[in-house]
Amino acid sequence: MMAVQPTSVSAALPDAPRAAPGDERVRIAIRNLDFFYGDFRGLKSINMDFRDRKVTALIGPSGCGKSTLLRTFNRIYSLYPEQRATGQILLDGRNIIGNDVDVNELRSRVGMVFQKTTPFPMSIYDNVAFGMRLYEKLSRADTDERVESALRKAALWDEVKDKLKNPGTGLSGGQQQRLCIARTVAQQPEVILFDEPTSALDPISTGKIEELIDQLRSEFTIAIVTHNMQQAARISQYTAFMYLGELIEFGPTNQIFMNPGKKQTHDYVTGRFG
Amino acid sequence: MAEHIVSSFDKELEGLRASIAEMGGLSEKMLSDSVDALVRRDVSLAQSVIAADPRLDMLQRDIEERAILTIARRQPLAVDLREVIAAIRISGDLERIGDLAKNCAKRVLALSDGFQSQKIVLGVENIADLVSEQLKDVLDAYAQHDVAQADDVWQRDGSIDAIYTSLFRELLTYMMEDPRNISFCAHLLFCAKNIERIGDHTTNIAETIHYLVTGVSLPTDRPKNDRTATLPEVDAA
Amino acid sequence: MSATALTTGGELAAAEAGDWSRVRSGRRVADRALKLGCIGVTAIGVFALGWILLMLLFQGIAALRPSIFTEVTPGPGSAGGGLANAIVGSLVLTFFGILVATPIGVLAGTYLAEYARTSKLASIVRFINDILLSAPSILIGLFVYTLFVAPFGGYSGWAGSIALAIIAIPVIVRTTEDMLRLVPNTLREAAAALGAPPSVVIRLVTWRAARVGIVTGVILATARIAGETAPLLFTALNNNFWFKPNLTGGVSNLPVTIYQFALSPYGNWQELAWAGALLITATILGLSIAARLIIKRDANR
Repeated sequence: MMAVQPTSVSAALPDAPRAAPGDERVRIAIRNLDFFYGDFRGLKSINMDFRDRKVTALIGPSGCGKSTLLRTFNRIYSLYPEQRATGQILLDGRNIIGNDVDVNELRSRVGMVFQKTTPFPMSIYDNVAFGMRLYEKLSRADTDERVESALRKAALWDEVKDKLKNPGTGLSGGQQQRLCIARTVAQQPEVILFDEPTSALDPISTGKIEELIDQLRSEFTIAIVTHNMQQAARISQYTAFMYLGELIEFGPTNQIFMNPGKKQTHDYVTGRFG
Repeated sequence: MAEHIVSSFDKELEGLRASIAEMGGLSEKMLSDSVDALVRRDVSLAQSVIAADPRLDMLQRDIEERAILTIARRQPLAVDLREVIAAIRISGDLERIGDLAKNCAKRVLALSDGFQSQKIVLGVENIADLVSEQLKDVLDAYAQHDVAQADDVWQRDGSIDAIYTSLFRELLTYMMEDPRNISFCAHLLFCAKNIERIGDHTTNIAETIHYLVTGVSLPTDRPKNDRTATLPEVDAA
Repeated sequence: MSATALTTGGELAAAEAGDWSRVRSGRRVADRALKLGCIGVTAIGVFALGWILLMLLFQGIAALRPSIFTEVTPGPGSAGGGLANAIVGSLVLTFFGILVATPIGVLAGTYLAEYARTSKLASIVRFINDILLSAPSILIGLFVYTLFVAPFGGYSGWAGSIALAIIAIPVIVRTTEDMLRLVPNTLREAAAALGAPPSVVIRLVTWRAARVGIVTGVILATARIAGETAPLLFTALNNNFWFKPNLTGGVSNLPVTIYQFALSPYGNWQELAWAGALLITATILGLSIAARLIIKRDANR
């Protein structure tokens, strides 16, 4: 079976993603991916490509498998023995579903930000340094520099630079989420996964996170699961609509939200889903 | 099409469609009345056309406001967003159609004192009939969301342009025949131009309907047969 | 009384409501009866406990004098004396007991909560731990007697500490596991998502997140073993002298001293028993309050 390729969109849309050499490189290629929770098949033969330095949004009703799909990219599901995936997920051409893959090394390359903010019970500084200390031996000065740069990238530096020794749990919800993003960015991954990163945040914090994701796009390949369709429309270049564990439609975001090809997609994005 | 989960959203879109239909009916009547007034040199009918225009303007503003509120409240996507945008665009076109019909009617007030041969206005009546037909068809196409009919209207604009070109020659001939016709014919020429412009607005509406239903815009090069701007006679004159 | 005022207020409101009320009067009577029953039984419990505590305070404070902390327990028939050797003995036994129990209990609890989780082995271990948690402490004393006292030919403080440790372990296992289970899974996922192996996740994240709960569990286990008598009867025994620095031979301790002195016919022994009982109760109370304060401070943070 062929992968679902984004079909070209009407040239009238200026924002439409254009194929440019090197710009549209496929970073993650999914081939015939199935996923099982025990006996339940949560994903059914998924085929799709995630492009480098693009934001790809996964949308669909609750339980459609979008989070499940996201959780296969860093194999976080393998924390739970009853969950397993079959098929191929090629990260830069290498199948990460294989047994020969060191999941911890994989996870240092594929970062993840969760719906619930998860500051570790330690200082802001140690939170950010947590990931990079795992796999790199850094001098104190280098660590300081990386922590600052990550906090700056996460647009949090100005708010916390005077209280790096304070516990991360003392920050507000939006700040905690940006701390989690900084923690992920500090590890210098190649791919960042966002699992409903703003669903617990107020609109202002949400705006900041969205702005951040848009900026991070210049350095990372980003996949985001969201229930907020306008958010997907705002920040992504590609959108995939999933339903009941299947990939229904995948294409440029403008097309999915302005002129979807499948009736199910259309009914979902226009709020007609019964 | 299936209904929205939020039924008040359906009601809002329904309301927009109903208001567009009202504007359509009003502008159709203004067009045919202004042509009738012109043909019969009927001043009171012309004045009733002029009096109807504010109502059309008011409807257009109302549609625009409600469309904006719908966008703000519902953040419509796909066909819903196109529906709202179409309502804004079509109401704008219909409002312009009303203005053009009103301009026609104003000319009737200026011409009413003189007397000219009835055959001179025949050509204008012809083009007006064609444009009225276009307007009626495009409004039907909107009500039915009928792309085929909308595309048909869009194609037919070419013949209106062609007729306008020949009407232009005809009126020039009358003016050259008898200089006493010049003032009347000049007024008629402006009326004809206004009516031809109404035809252009119907093609705009047809394009909007095409986009509304298919999500794809029609090509930018419209069928154009108005060659008056390049006529050798005009260049010579 | 405010309670009565409240009740009358309630009745007034009900009377005003009149037919409007949808609650049958029979139900209101049943409600009242259950409430009164509960209050009555609670009062009996509180009364009994209060009596014990008051008695203890009354008698214990009367028996308290500085010499209790300086003098050794008196021999039969000799006057005066204190509890110095028993107090220090108890501290030493409890200290070593908790020193042994803490790492075992915390690690076993961690195994259950982090590694084994829902496995069959885990549920068996959990079941056995629960039995151990409620096992009669005299049995544990006998167990340690057969294992560490009989073969070595003598009572020792070490055997006593081991017996106390065996009692503390299931408490610590249980609280550690419960506290670790309260740590949200997303926190573990977040740490794992940064590429941290389970050992790092546990050491740097989940233990830290559950730290307060685990420490509280250890304190409560300390309080639990500080007052244990039965396991010491067969292991550390008790005597009226300072124990040897290597803790062999009997080691005097408060619970057994209380037990023996309270049973004795001598007035000064009975007085010392009261004082000892007050000291132990105060210690346990202090530990419980400390545990509560730690939890409260964490909740406020």
